[in-house]
Amino acid sequence: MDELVKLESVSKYFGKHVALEHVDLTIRRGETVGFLGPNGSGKSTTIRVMLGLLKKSGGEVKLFGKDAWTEAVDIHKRIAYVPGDVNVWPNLTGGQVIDVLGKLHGDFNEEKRQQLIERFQLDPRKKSKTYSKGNRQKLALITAFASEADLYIFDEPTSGLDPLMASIFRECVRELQEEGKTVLLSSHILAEVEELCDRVSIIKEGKIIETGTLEELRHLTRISITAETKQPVTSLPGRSDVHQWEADGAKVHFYVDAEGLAPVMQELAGAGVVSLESRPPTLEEIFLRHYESKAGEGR
Amino acid sequence: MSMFIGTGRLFLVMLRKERVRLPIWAVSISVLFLLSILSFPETYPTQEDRQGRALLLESPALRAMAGPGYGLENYTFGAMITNEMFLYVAVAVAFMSIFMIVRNTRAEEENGLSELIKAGVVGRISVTTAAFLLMVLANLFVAAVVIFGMPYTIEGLSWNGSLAFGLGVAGVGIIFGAVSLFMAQMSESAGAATGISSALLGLAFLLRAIGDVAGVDAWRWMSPIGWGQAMRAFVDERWWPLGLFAGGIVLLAAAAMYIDYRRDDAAGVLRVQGGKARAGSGLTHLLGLQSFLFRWVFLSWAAGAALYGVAMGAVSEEAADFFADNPIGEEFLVQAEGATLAESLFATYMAFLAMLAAGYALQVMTRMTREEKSGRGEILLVQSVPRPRWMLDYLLISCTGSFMLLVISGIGAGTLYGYYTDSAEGAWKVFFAAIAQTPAVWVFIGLAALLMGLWPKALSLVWLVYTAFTLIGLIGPLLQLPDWVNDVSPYAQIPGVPAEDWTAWSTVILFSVFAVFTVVGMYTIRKRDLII
Ligand SMILES: Nc1ncnc2c1ncn2[C@@H]1O[C@H](COP(=O)(O)OP(=O)(O)OP(=O)(O)O)[C@@H](O)[C@H]1O
Ligand SMILES: [Mg+2]
Repeated sequence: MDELVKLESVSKYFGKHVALEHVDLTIRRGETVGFLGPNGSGKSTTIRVMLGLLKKSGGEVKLFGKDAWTEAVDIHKRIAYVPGDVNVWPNLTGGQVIDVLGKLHGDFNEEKRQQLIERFQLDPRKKSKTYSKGNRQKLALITAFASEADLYIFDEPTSGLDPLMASIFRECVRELQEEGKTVLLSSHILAEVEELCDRVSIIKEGKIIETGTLEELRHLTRISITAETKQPVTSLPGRSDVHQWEADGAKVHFYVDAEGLAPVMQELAGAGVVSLESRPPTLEEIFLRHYESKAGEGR
Repeated sequence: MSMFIGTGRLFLVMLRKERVRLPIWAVSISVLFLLSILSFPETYPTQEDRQGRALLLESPALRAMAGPGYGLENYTFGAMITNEMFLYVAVAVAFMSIFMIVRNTRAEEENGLSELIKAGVVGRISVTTAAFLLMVLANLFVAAVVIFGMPYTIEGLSWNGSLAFGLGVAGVGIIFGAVSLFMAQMSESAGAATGISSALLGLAFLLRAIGDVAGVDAWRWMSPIGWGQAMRAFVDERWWPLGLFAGGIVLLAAAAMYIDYRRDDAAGVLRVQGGKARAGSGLTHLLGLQSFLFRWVFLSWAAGAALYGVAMGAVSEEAADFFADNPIGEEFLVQAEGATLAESLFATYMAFLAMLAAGYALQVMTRMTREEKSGRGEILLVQSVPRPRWMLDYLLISCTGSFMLLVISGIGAGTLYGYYTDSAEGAWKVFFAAIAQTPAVWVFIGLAALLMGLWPKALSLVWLVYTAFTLIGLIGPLLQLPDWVNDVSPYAQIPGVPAEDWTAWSTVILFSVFAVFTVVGMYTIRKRDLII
């Protein structure tokens, strides 16, 4: 069984509100998949459907080849999950919370627990109610990293962590990757996703709008071009595959769709190109294009 | 005075937040009090009756549970009210104040809500001031209803006496509000603030009880409740104890505001000390965890149940005598052929005990939705905990806990009654009557489980059902409601033991209802979305 997670055409309605619409998502063993999308796009909902906490309204959800809803308890044994908003029992200390959750889960590595508490610089003697959001998140992270699992699911794990702690989180994920573990990482932080993930799925308004490796995504999307020509290139701004045209004297900057690259290059050559700089889009550019829901753009 | 900026606005916000809860408290306390004295003239038409009643206060047990015994030689209605009712009205308003203050100050801070407020244009001690003012207002409201209501409720009660009674009540209420205002500043946790304030209230009760039983004034003066009683309403009014109240209130409130002015947000003076870094083996399984989380809830209810049981046992014999020719009492009492009055009285007490145990059980059960909404349920359920298993713990804790409350109370009442009557059989009968209430309590648990599975968002509806049946049980007989209203109540299904014979079938029926509800609840909780 190589596909640990398989979502096929999954929908989820809250009353009339459509939270997920025909979502497909596959995670193969050993992969780290990034899950991106604006606020309210359905990331947490997708994860909760996968965990059998919410019931899908349509489609099929399989984890480890088992149905996510009916066999949730078996599936949980092989999963470590860090929710986006960690809430724990205010009267237990941090150390107690970690122990309680870890022991309930089962496979829990005491040695790793100690190491992680030190690495994340957590004071385990404090009552949870005195912890900040970031410290509560650390509780769930330590529990997850100290638990033996096949699939690790993180829902915006670094949203409350400071940069130093976020980098420790990334280190821990890389260690999981070295062990060949599978990871799903939902995040808003592109650098994190870019650094850690083999593949990315982008969700927007409950629909998956892009999915693939970072290279594929870059390839499929627009390329940024800066060029200087002897004669002005008048034909380019009117093309439908050229975007965000900016001209500054002889210097122009624009984005071009991947398929339009060849004809645009010919045009530029015809105009006597002096200098040319082309760059694949950063993830941020891909991302922002999807986040801003301008009519006619995106998709 | 920049430290007070925004107090008025905060006061209005608090008033809005409290618009349901606080009036329920204030109105029920004052109206229930007036209702309960309404029957006095009918119950004790002659001076002779009243003097008979005065004799009861000679017994130490009743002294401890009532008052100092002013005006016993000429026991008027006023003296009766002061001696027997003041204590309870005062304790009720004190609790009202404590809960209101803590939930509007420290509890908000603990939840992080006050951070938002304090970041706005709001003075450092505005929250504390606004909460204090609202608490004073609530107490004055109760006092006003009581003061203006009493002379109309019983003809011949003097305005002077009503004024002394009402102000004494308000004095106790406000001073314990000020105590909790102070504790809310001292302690970092809302639970501790409520706990310590309530413990101090208990201590005040105890001190005056000792003073009253032993007849030693020094003990009485250590207790604010004693100050209120020392105003001798309707007997020989004295006004100067109001000065004690005023002094105490000003001192406590000023101290609270001083601390609030000096301290950091969310900090306290009593620090939460460093806890354990590891969870012992008692915590790391599901039932252990949940029992740990509910230990204080259970212990405080258990203390209440024990007290109630002892009080029941202590007053049963004496009270039975006095109820002997009490027409209102008869409405309440479960009447059965061949039962002694004490037994009838116990039967009625036991129905109240069932309500107490059900209150605990529902507090446990309704915690489930809170856990689910807060995400604590989610984080547990993904640790391969099946949902019915999760629910089972709440069922176990509420079922065994409520049963234990009945046992504790039953032991207290039974032992004392057995001791008084010198009859082991009597003791057993009373004990059995207590545990016979179990199925009625469990029906409420079943109802909560059912809602938890089918309609979790409406789980708090069980409180409505509970309140309705409890009220029907308390005052239904007086309201002369149609029989069927009373007949649907689970409490009414239990035969009035020890006065009536126990029947197995009613117990079997109630247990079956409980079982069916619970099974349906546990089955359907697997079929629904988690409420997140
Ligand atoms: N229990 C619920 N009841 C009703 N609507 C819900 C519920 N949970 C989520 N939604 C809605 O479903 C949509 C998706 O929410 P979701 O929490 O999955 O977004 P998200 O991608 O995780 O966002 P964020 O980045 O802010 O965490 C939102 O429009 C949200 O309002
Ligand atoms: Mg989310």
